[in-house]
Parts: sequence; structure tokens; C-alpha cells
Amino acid sequence: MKEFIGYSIAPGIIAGNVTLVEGDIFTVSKGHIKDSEVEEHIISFQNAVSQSISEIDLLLTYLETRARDEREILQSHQEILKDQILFKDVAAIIREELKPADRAVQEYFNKMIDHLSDINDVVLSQRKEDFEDIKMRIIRNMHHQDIRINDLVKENKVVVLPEIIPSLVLSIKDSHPLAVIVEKGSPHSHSAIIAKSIGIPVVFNIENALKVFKEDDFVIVYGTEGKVILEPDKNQMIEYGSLQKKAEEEFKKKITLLKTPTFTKDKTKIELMGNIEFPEECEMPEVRYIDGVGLFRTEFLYFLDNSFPSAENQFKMYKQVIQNLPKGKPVYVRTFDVGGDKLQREFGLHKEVNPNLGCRGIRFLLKYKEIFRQQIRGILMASAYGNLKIMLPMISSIKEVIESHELISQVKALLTKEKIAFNKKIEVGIMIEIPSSAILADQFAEHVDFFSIGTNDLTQYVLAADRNNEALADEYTYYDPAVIELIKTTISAGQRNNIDVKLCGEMASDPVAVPLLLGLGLRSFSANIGGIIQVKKILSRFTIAELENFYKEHQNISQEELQQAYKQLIKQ
Amino acid sequence: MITKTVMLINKLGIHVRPASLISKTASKYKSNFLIRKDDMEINGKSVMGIMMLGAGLGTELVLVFNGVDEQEMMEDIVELFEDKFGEE
Repeated sequence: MKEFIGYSIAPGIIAGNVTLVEGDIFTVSKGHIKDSEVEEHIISFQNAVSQSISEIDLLLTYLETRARDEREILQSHQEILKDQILFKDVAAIIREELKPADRAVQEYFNKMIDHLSDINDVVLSQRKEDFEDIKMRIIRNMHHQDIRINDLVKENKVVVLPEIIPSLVLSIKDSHPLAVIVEKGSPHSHSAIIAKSIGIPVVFNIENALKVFKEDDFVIVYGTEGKVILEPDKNQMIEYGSLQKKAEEEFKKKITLLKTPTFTKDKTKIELMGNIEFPEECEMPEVRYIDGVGLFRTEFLYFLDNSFPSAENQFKMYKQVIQNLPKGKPVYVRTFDVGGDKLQREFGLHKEVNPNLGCRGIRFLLKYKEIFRQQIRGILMASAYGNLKIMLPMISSIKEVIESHELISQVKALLTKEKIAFNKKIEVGIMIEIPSSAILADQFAEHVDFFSIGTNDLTQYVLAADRNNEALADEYTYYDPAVIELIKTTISAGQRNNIDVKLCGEMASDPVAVPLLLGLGLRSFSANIGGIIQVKKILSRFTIAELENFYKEHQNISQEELQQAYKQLIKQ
Repeated sequence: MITKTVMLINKLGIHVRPASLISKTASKYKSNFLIRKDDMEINGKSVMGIMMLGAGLGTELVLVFNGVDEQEMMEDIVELFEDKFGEE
């Protein structure tokens, strides 16, 4: 019996036999390049570095409301990528030693890693993983290749890999292994985020896994603890048996809860949907069994290969999402909400001093209409297969809504001419996340089919408090009366004009805020996957009348007191 | 030119986060900034350089500031070390 501890990436308990996938997945080019190829290789290196920087930008956007530690580590990785020394040193290896770019990067970082390993300091030498991570990111961006290892991975086995990249995670999933163990892997990587959604236990960073495990060794993988037990003894098997049974029962309970429609205590029907980032996430039970996807962020599309995919490729992904969900369930596709600041290089944009108040969301899309057109075309084509809706981000004026409608009509006309099927009555709605649209919600309502309140940005713009600025952590709060007032304005404008009002921001995942929102009249919530179970339980605990009264009694107190009052309420 | 000797007192040593913090802070100033450890000397405005020092807990480093705003730069950088880079 031997026990190994790594990073927990995805939960679950499973026992089975291992299968090893050996060899360096990131085999770099061999030999030397010609003098005439030097510049080309330096440019390819530079491009891969730029891509890595923008990739991290998007990862940071994804992590914005999550772990602070992960953000800081990723930000320091960006600093390294931007370091002139890195560029100079690698360029020198390419130019002077005539090494191909990918090999130059590998050798450079391996040298750094060796250097750190020589240092007699345990803590520091553990930090090698940062360099490993950066190295792999650059090389992956240089290769662009899609690695498929279906042939190597056998069904019903615990797969052990040396390292992993996002496309590999997805191809592994298709071959249905029991669990995945990775020798080297960063919990902050894109792979880790995707690995969370494949529904089997995943553990990263089991050192020397390929040496310590032999083909067909029997192991127990504890995904939640990041633990692997090799050749368990009798007691451990008994423990595994009972834990697995318990986990199965809990899973069944969870599914039953998810499948039960959501009602308040007084039987008011509430719509509960989930927010997703990647198409694969719609296969998770938390998303499959509830009322649909209330927010499908699409920034990942850009992120996959650092360019905007064609309508055809987008169509395939939207179709995948809609077909993986039970028939009829809606998916609200939010069009690209990227800022020009993230795409400066590609679009030759000027550096924005204040990107949050810059050319992002709908402003970017209306400026680069071809990108917008391709996305609308992709969504419309997929709308023939299910209940897709278009959701426009960062709307601040009615003019933007009208211009977007015009573009959508043009794309529809073209599809009709080409005899391509789509849902002619597809709903188009807007995010309410800029104060101007909340204040004039009544006027906007005439032009759209639904509102979806984005509380993260709304709070930041109403209070002029950057949500990532830690010094303003107390100021940035959606319990602020002004934020609540605008949420109320939006909900009542929706009621008056008979259009749906949804809320997909962080607030809908906050169990303390959910009773407040119900009391304000909100009936449709879209929560983060991790928060769905808890929100679902809270939604059924109170009657609407009781929450309306509770709000009336507490509306004139400070935001801290208000938050406290609701904390007390859900504790009871 | 100002020379200042500092001792690393944060448990984790100069890993990637402190390294990027030091280089970011240093880059705000015009003056040159070198860090010496034993016989190594690196540019304190480069994250890679700082990480290569492999400076762990208890390491002694010599910081050399040289330029028009060396005084302010020194104060700012030394504060980072004293503050253990905001850790712990």
C-alpha cells in the first residue's frame, strides 16, 4: 500500500486499474534551422508569447470572481511573458545556436528549472511549476496541434499521463476512462478548468506517477482530496466501499433535487438556470437537469485558438450545447464580451487607459461588425436545433439596440436567401449592466424580448468601484441601496412591459442575496454551477409574501445591516 | 548611487509573485536597479532575473540603486521586503 497526494481538480471516488500514456506529449523539433529561417522562428516565438499573454487575460476574466491566489499567480506569469530578458535570451538561442523556436523555449526554461532545482531551498525548488506552466503554455501556442490520444486510452481504466493540455482533456473524455491522474499539471491552467467539467475524478501533480505506477496496478482515486492509493489494503477497500456507496447515494439525492422543479414555499414557480463558460459544462448534472442555461459566455471561442472562429465553427459549438440539453430548454448566448484592451495587437487598437470604460461588449462588436455578423450567423444557424436566445452585452443606449437589430435582420435575410434554416422568431435581449439602461429600462423594454441583469458590472458602474480593486472591497457591494434601486427599476419595467427579467450576475449565486431578490420581484435566476444546489434549496424555503414584507421592513437600513439581516434570515 | 543590504524574511522566499511585484515596482522608476547575491548580479527590473537569484528565506541580497529617483525607488523597494511582499 502506498499513498500519493496531488492537487484535487475534479471530485469523485473510484477504484480501478491504471493504464499509462507515456512519452513526451510536447515533443519539440529536433536538429538545427538554417540561417535564413532565424527570423521566422523568432517571430513564431514572439507570436506564441503574445498569444499566451492574451490567453491569460481571458483566463483572468473567467477567474474574476474566483480565487485571488490563482489570479495573482497568473498575473505574475504574464509579467514573465512580458519580460524583455525572456525574449532576448530565447531569441539569442535561436539566432546563435540555430535551434528551432520550440526547442529554444524548452531548453531555456529547462535550464531555469534545473537552476532552481540546484538551489538548496525546498520551498523555492517547489516553485518550478510556474516555469513548467509558462513553458508549456508557450510551446502549446507555438504548435497549435490538436493532440488526440483516443487510441492510447482504454475504457474503464484510470489514465496516467505525463502532462496535459485542454484539447487532450476533451479527447480523453471521449474514451470514457474512470479517472485521470496527471504527473505534472497546474491547478491554474486552462486544462484544470476544463477537467472539472468532464465528470470523473481528476488529480494533478502526482510526482513521478509514470514511474511509480505500473500498467494494470490497482488504485483508488479520491478526486476531492487529490489522493491516490496504490494497492490498497483490506481496510482501505472496506472504507472505499462504504464511501463510494455514500457518494452514490448523495449523487442520487442531488439528481432528484435538481430534477424537481423549483417553487417557493407558496408554490410560485421560479426559473433556475446555470451560467456556463464552455460547451462541455452543459453535460454536468447541475446544468442538464435545471431550467436551462441563463448565461453562455462565449469569450472562450476566441480563447481556443486566439482568433474569432467562423460562423460555421461557432454553429457546431452552439449546436453541441443545445443538443446536449433536454429538448426545449433555453440557452441564452451572450455575444462576445471582450474588450479592445485584450485584443490590441490583433486590431491595432490604442492602449486604453481605462478599459472597463472602453471599447468592450457591444461597442466592440458594432465597431468590428464582421465578428458580430459571424457570431449572429452561428447562433441563428444553431437556433434551428433548439431554444437559443441572443443576449447583447454592455448596452448603454437604445441606438446600440437598434443597430444590433439591423445587423441581425441582415444576417437573417441572407440566411433566408441561402435557404438555411433558423428560428425566425429568435428572442433578442440585453444585459442590464450599465446604469443608463437600468434607469431607462422602460424605454429599452420596447425594443427587446428580455432583460438579464448583470450585477457584477452594474455594481461596479453604479458605485464607480472597480470590483478587482481590493482597497474598495467594502465599497463594491450589491447590497448598496442604489444598486438595489436599479434592480427594482429593471424588474418593474419588465413587469409593466410584459418582458422577462433575469439575473445572471454573481448575486444570483449568493444564497444571502437570493431571498432579497425574490422579495424585489425577481422570478428568474441564473447561477454559477457551483452555487446551483444551494440556491435551489434557498429558493424553496420562503413564501413570496414573507420576503416582500421582510424587504419592506429592512429597506431603510445601511447596506451592511441589510446584508446581516438576510444572513440571519437564511440561518434560521 | 545607494547600496542597501536586505535579508529575506518571508517564508517562501522570492518566488514568482514577489519577483513580479519587485520588478513592477522597480519599473515605475527611472533609476537603474541591480540586485546582487553572492557572485550573481541581475537587473532588478526583470522578473526572470529576480527569479534566477533563487533567493530563499534568510538570503542576504545587496540592492543597488542608481539614478535621478534612486532615493524614492530605494524606499519603495525596501518597504516591499520589510512587508514580506504582503504575505503571511
